[in-house]
Amino acid sequence: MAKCCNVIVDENVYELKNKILLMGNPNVGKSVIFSALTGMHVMSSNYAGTTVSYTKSNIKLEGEEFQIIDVPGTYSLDAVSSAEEVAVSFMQSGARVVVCVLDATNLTRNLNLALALKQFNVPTVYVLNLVDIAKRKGIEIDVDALSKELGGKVIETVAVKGVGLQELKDELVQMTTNKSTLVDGEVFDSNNDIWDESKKISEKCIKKVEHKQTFMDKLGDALIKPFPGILISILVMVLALVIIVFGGKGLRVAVFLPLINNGIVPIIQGFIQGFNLPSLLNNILIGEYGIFIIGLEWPLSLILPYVTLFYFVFTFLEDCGFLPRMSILFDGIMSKMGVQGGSLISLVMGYGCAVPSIIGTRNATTRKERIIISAMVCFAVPCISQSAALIALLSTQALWMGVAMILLSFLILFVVGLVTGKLIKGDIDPIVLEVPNLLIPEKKAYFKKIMIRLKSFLVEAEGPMLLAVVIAAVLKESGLLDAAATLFEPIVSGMLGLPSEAVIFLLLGVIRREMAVAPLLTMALTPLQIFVGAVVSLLYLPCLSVFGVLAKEFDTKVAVYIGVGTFTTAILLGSVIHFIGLLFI
Amino acid sequence: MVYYIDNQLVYANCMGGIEMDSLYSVSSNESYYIEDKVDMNLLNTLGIYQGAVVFKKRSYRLGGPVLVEIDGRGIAVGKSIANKIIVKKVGE
Repeated sequence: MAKCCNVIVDENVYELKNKILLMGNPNVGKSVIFSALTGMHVMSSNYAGTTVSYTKSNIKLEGEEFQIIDVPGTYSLDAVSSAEEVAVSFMQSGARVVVCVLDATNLTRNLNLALALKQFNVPTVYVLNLVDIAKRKGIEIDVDALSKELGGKVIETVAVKGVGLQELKDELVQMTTNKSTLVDGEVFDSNNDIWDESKKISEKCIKKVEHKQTFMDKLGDALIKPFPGILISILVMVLALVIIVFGGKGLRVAVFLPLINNGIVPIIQGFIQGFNLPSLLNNILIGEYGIFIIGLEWPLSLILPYVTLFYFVFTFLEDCGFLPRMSILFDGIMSKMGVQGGSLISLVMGYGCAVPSIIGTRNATTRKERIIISAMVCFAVPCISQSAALIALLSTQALWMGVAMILLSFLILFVVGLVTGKLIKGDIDPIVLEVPNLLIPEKKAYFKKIMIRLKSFLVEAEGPMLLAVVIAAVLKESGLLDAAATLFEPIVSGMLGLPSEAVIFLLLGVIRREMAVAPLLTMALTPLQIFVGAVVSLLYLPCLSVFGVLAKEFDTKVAVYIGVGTFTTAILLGSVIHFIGLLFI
Repeated sequence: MVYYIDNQLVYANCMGGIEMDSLYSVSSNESYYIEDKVDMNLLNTLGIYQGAVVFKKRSYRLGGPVLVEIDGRGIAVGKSIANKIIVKKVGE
């Protein structure tokens, strides 16, 4: 398998003396345990490979400082993938304690890694996680027997609910204060030997009890069958869209608008009026289109309701194990686009924000596939902020326009996949994906994750948004906007058929994607102009942060190609739609 | 020429004598031994290694993957890899 995915490691971290390493297979709950031990929240999800880099945090045990490191999940220590290389380097660098997290629902395979880790002779405590789901599946594990086989303490946990974590903390204190004795790990010659040994151990320790298939088990199976799986997947996606679009509208009217108009805005107005500024300045700051009014109204009442609902829906789908099942069902169709089904998760993530989506493509095994997915996201997947602005723009129009927009975006997605696939040489690795357990996300963790996402949206969006509004005001007041409007008139009016002052959406769209839509909301446009504007802003340049992440994850060349590609396609397709539209009007 | 004929004969024997079924082509809802496969580390670590027993649940249409079950856990394997995994039915 090609090695493309870089896990960025600061070499100094290996030098640390008091390391506690959290190791385990992907998707066994390492990040949840890390969060619980350190109080530092790490994003975790219900599919393999959420942690694409390591995370470090300090904790104090009995007065001594330790560094807990959440090592990316690996199935083995063969150092074939970059996550595995990192895992091996951490083990070789020496650690005080290893916390080896095992998935109780899949013990045999997890024991492979446990046995491989033993060869490094580091004191180890074993965490048997997900015991609740194991019980649901009729799997009972004899902890004492397992502990004897592994030569270390085994602690049963349900990490998302905090069960067993105090015991783990106590054990860590024990292990770091007393020098624990070590059982030498057996060295295995081959993969098959390790598997044989793992099987032997799990046969000794696992007791399968009779159990009835629960509703969740049956649903999990149904979701992965072509029928009714594909039908349910499509229904779920439509339902998600309906919840976000109509729910967001409701949330905006019922909660966010009153909050802004009756709560925040009067406070700011009162505050600024207290300074007795000249009326021109007052107007610029808190007038109807004042910096603080627009700068708060757009992100908070226009965008935030949709962002909130998107993360409620997406986080649920992400954590319940639905997305990987969908990936498997749609792998065949995805392969027609030149990518494998597993990348569907990155694509769906792009509907939230392109930045984590592009970083998430590290899970793909080839550079080619990473670039294809990143290009698809940059071209035709609007981030939720932009979608919110697009919904606001198109909701004043006939429903077919929204539907046409969605279909057009899928068509572009398909074409971009095909074209980039042809442009970049090489092959794509086929899907190899584990089906995670289907489960209902644990409430506390679910809400915490949503809160973190909303907070980071506000932090990351509010600054650039205010900046964009300030730039817009400055451009307007200084007369630069008129100059730009004249300069770009052949494109904006000649080709796209928009009023020349609409040039502002092209200028601001560079900063954030929703700013390529929002200025259109304040203009009086014909339905055709609105559709053209919506298409251009969908395809238009990704935002500044996306350029940053493209250059960092790949190189400047890729960022420039995607920039030029999106810009040209946006203007060309916009013009084509404009001229075809004219024929019918 | 003899060499060429020999070659042909050997080939014919192979095709006629020994069943060479790929994981993709064999029927669903049966257990299979993995006889031979592409050298891919991820498959080994997920439990698809020479000599292992897997339960094939189904193949997906339109070039989709094969779903197998190992130890009660589902694993999807892309068509082009599944085509190169040679299996033998358990009990034959």
